[in-house]
Amino acid sequence: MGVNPATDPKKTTHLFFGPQHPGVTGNMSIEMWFDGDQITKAITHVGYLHRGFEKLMEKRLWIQNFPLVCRICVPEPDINEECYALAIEELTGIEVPERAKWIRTLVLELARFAVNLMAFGGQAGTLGLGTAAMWGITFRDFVLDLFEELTGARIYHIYIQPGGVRRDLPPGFENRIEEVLTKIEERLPELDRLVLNNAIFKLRTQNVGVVKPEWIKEYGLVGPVARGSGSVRDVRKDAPYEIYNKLDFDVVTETGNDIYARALVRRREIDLSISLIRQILSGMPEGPVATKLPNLTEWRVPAGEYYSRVESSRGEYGYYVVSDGSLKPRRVHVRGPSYVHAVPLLERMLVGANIADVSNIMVSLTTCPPEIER
Amino acid sequence: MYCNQRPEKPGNKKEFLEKITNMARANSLWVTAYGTGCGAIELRPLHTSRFDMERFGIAMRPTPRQADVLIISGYLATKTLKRVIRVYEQIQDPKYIVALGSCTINGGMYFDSYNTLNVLDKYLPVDVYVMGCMPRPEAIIDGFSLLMEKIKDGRAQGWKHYKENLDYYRENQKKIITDWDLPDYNW
Amino acid sequence: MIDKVKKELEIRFPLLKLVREQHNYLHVKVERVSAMDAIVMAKTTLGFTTLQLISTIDRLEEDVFQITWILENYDLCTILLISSNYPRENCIVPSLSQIWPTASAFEREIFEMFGISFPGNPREGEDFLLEDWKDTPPMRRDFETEEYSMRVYGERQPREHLDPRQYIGDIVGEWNTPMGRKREEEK
Repeated sequence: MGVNPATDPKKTTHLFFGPQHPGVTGNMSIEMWFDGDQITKAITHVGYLHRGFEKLMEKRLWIQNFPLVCRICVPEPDINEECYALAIEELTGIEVPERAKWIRTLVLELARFAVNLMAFGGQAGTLGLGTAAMWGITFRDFVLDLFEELTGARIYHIYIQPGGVRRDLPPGFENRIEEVLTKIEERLPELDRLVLNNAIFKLRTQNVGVVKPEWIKEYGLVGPVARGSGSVRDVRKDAPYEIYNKLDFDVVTETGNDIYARALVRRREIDLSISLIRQILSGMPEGPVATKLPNLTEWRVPAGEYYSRVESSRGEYGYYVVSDGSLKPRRVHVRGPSYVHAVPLLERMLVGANIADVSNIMVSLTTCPPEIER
Repeated sequence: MYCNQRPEKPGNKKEFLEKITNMARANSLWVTAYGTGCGAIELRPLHTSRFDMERFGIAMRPTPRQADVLIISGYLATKTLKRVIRVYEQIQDPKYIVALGSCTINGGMYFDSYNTLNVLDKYLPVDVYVMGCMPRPEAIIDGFSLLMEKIKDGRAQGWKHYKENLDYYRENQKKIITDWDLPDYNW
Repeated sequence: MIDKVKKELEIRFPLLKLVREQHNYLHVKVERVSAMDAIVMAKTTLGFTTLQLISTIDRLEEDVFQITWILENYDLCTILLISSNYPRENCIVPSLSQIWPTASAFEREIFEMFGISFPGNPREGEDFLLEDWKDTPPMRRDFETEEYSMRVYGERQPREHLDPRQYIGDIVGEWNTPMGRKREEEK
């Protein structure tokens, strides 16, 4: 057994990137060996945010888990509530009223809109283009204000519940959504000019961080990572939940395979979300927003297993929920989309990459540590 | 790589000098960019023009060597605690800790989790707690202004307390981090 | 599509049990000896080329671990779940890391969380989520997380009751929302 050439201490430099580093997304770290400035081997270390959610869920009632699940993904909590609620509804057979389905879709789209604004700006932020990152976060704040009015919280909404949503839209809410959409839409061309037409951004992102189309099936890539490489996979279209089959939209896809293509996918997703939100607002029916639930302290979900899927801004989100007919879930396994993006794919993609592009690649892969670790 | 000396006991300056330096310290709080938990997402709006924390002289620094404040933004997993201790001890004196969220105060909703600390005070000297899950940007700004007041009054002495009671803190830290592979005094 | 898959699996594995069937969703339970054959068959001949997730359920009362492989037909967005039971004592499950590059990470996590060994995984035993864990693997049913938290992280000011009924109280039937109250009043 000789020395592994990728980690030979005579030829390579050994470096820890993160967890305390402004270029790392969230709280995770990458251990790298590099020769000159070319990476020869990389290992992702996760677990800095591990809270043992799946164990805690087994110790709490079905309904008590809603405040827990939304904390699994910090930027986009509604996906988790939706996914968990879908699984419970499938197991118990609770019907969701029509209006509740429309409101849920509205909330999910608003959340996706907010995340994509932040992520698109954040992609430019990793290249030192701080202005775009600031603008993205400022635009997102307008959407958070809407959430605050609707649910009472900026980040963790706990708005979706089995059988509907927690409360109806406040009066005049549609107009305020429209106001925010117009306000952001007016400013988006400026963001485009700053980011997508920027020569430095193009130089640093085109043909960098290439995801080969044949990796998509091998790794099970989803979301903007897959759609930036020519895939047309979108759970909203392929296995529609809520009312996505009633909305008119095309799946956003690009064929560049590189970081630029993925940024473009996110930019076009912003436009798609705006169009979807307008469609939802114009077609929203009247009616009740929640089904009457049984006594929640004695609520037993019938025994069964279900794997529910929802499209988040980072790709397909899955919840494997198992019930044994008791008061508490038997097992809830969360499959975040960035699990495969940040661990096996990132380790493979970083080999041969330039050290200056690491955080760039990481952000473009839509890495979100809390959903990897739970 | 490490310096293995015990930390020196901080000396006492003349009172009026201390007052003037404290005034200066309070108005330029530089924060280590380390998002240890989910509260970090509410730190980002603080940079933007809407909340604008730079008007208080608060700025983000990429490395602990340039910073004065460490923000513990939420629950601390045991794996992170080791890194946080290392980061905290790299910050130059004087240094302050702001802890965000209910989960740093008493465990919050993760009170029975096997991987998160319950009471942060036992492991690191916290100067200001900001409650809420998660705290709004306004609450964080409020926490910072409280910290400024404490510094101006000379009450933010967590770092001195940490040096003086290092054995107590180390004992608690080692109880959790069983594979302690740092030297005992890595300042 | 699902009908065809079900038929082919039933011909090959007569002892197969059907758990759930929908238009783009199939969950089957197979014998332990034929689990790997079923997975390989699903990948090579039935078009389920993507591994979504490997999940484990600790069925303590039956003294088995139920391992579920969630495969996906990427083009048709169709899900196939294959479950199988393995005895709890010294549990060994064949590794899929030679077939799918993503399997390695899932198996490392299961090794850490349940103590299930996957011989053939080149990176087995590397730290994944936990660091230097010495207790019972935490996701096993016989691991008491609250007791562990009390023991390791010490006492915190506990709630008076840990029974959720005391908190949710006597809200019967519906959430205590303005809408709910309004509807109650109308009645």
